[in-house]
Amino acid sequence: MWRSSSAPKPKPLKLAQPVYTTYSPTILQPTPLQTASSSTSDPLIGPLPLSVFARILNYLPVPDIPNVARTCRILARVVRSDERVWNARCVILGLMDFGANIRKDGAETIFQHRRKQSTSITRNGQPPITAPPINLNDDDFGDFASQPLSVMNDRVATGGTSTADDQFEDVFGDFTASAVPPELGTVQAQKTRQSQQHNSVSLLDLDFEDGNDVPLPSTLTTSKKTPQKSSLQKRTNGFFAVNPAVLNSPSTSRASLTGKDGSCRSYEVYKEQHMRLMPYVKVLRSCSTANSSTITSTISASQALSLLFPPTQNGPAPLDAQALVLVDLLSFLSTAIEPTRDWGWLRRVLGGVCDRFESVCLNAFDRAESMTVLPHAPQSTKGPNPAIPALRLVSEASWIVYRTTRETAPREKRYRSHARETLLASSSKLRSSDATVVQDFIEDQSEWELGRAWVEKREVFYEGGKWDATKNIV
Amino acid sequence: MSEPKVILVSFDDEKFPVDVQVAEKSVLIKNMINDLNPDGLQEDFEIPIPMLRSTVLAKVLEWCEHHRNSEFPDDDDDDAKKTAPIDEWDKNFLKVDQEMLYEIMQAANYLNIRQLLDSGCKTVAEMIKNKSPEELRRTFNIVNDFSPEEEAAIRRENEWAEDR
Repeated sequence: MWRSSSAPKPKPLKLAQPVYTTYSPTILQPTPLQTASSSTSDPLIGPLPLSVFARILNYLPVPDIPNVARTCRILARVVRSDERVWNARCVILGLMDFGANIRKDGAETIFQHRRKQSTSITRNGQPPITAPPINLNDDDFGDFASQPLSVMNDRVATGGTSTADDQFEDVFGDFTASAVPPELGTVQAQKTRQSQQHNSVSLLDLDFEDGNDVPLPSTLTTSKKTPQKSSLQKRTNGFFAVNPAVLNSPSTSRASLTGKDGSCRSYEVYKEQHMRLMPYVKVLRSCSTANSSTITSTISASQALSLLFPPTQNGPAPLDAQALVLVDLLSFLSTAIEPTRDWGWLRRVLGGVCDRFESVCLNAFDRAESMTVLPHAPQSTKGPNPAIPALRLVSEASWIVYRTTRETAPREKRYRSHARETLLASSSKLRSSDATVVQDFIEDQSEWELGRAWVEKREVFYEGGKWDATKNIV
Repeated sequence: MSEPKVILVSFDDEKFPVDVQVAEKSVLIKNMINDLNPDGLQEDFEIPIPMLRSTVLAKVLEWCEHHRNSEFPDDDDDDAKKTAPIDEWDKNFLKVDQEMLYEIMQAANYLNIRQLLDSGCKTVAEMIKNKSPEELRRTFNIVNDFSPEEEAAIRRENEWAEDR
């Protein structure tokens, strides 16, 4: 009796023991890693399971991946269709605004924010804050697709960018793009032919290059370069001007070389971005290899900058478009992507270019600022000073490049910067809070030169205009 | 009274008593412990791991022991994970013959020890760098199942990624 009554108590513990031996770990596998390893969909490739190979590829520099794809069929399929291989890269490049892996520190997501913002502002009849980056491939995610071209034209027509554009003459001189690697021309012709034969229409392509009916904002003049296909030539001038080196590269005729079957989305997305940025990388490389001993002696950073964004008939590309490209390049040429074998070197070249870009911005800021001082426009409650958007544009361009250059900064710091940037970007609506915001982030980012200038001039924005806050609510 | 231990039993019946904290570096084991002991561990707890040889299990546990207090970045943070270089200790730890390396990685994959697997993957990625397809096949003992035309097609397909 005594026994039976006391027995049940320790029983559960004792009973638990035999359960372990029959316990099947496969039932309990909670993470994707584990589910994959036990299922038949994860066969061994040589010594390692397929899912492990996908992880390895994730860590592999991009130039090494083609060799892996060529080893056997199953690895070729992994390269082509396994999201795990490319997803992280896309996230780092800020190309993924879908899926679970949205980047948290916001260095790129802010662009999506800004792009959206620019389209929304467009609807209010103002010029967009950010122009599309030089190459319209960036439209892949539809942010700009929703933005009517006519609005962009308006922006040019009203001279929305002219204040910024005027600033460059002294910097760039009459330096024109001559850095086209000589071998690119022939390859390009060949590739263009290939892509013409291949008539498949990709949804990812928002390609204006061949659209004859697209209204172009500038007159078409013959470029200084050698005669090219007319469809390509169109965009070597004017607002949508593309660096001729970029146009000549084989990479611009992208994406349509192979069928889309079986390839995963992140593969295509990454490939698209890779091909968009590689022409710029080649320009950078041509700058640095022109003289391998020192960059500064023959090709200075400012020259490299003007090679990347050659001035066109309408002046140089807008600063914010340049900034977007520079930021993309900064995240592209990084340990996280390793797009080329010499990325480390190119990154240093790019660092110099970015420094130069910041001083260009500072210069542009000064000019725009001097315009606000001029009493040429006796404006009262009629609306904001026309120079303000230019100032904002310039400082935002400088800021995003500056921030991305600081990739070594601690993470929380970047989070906070992000929050402030968002505030700053929306400051056209919330002027009253601006001064404190700017003050705050100057305390934090005191090295950011343009930011200091901004603070010095903030009376111009916040006290000179006597804004009526209610006017902002339409 | 000392803390109850987790006793891991390898394929060849060798027993490895370890602290709970060490064993829980493996998400798989951690979940097993938690699921079967909802009130916390009361006494020693034996878990058979029949897939692992004792040498491999010993290596894995050595890693777990070394990293028992290591804080790892958020698992889901791809950015941090990818940019972080291999931990110096891990690098030396994984300086073993290839067969052992692969077995450790398989174990890490099976036991769901993310950081060990990542270190292994980075090590293998280092091995893959700058190798031709033929060298890679030899390294990983992979049979070439391509026809020459297919291989050429695959090469063209991924040409964009090559560094030219």
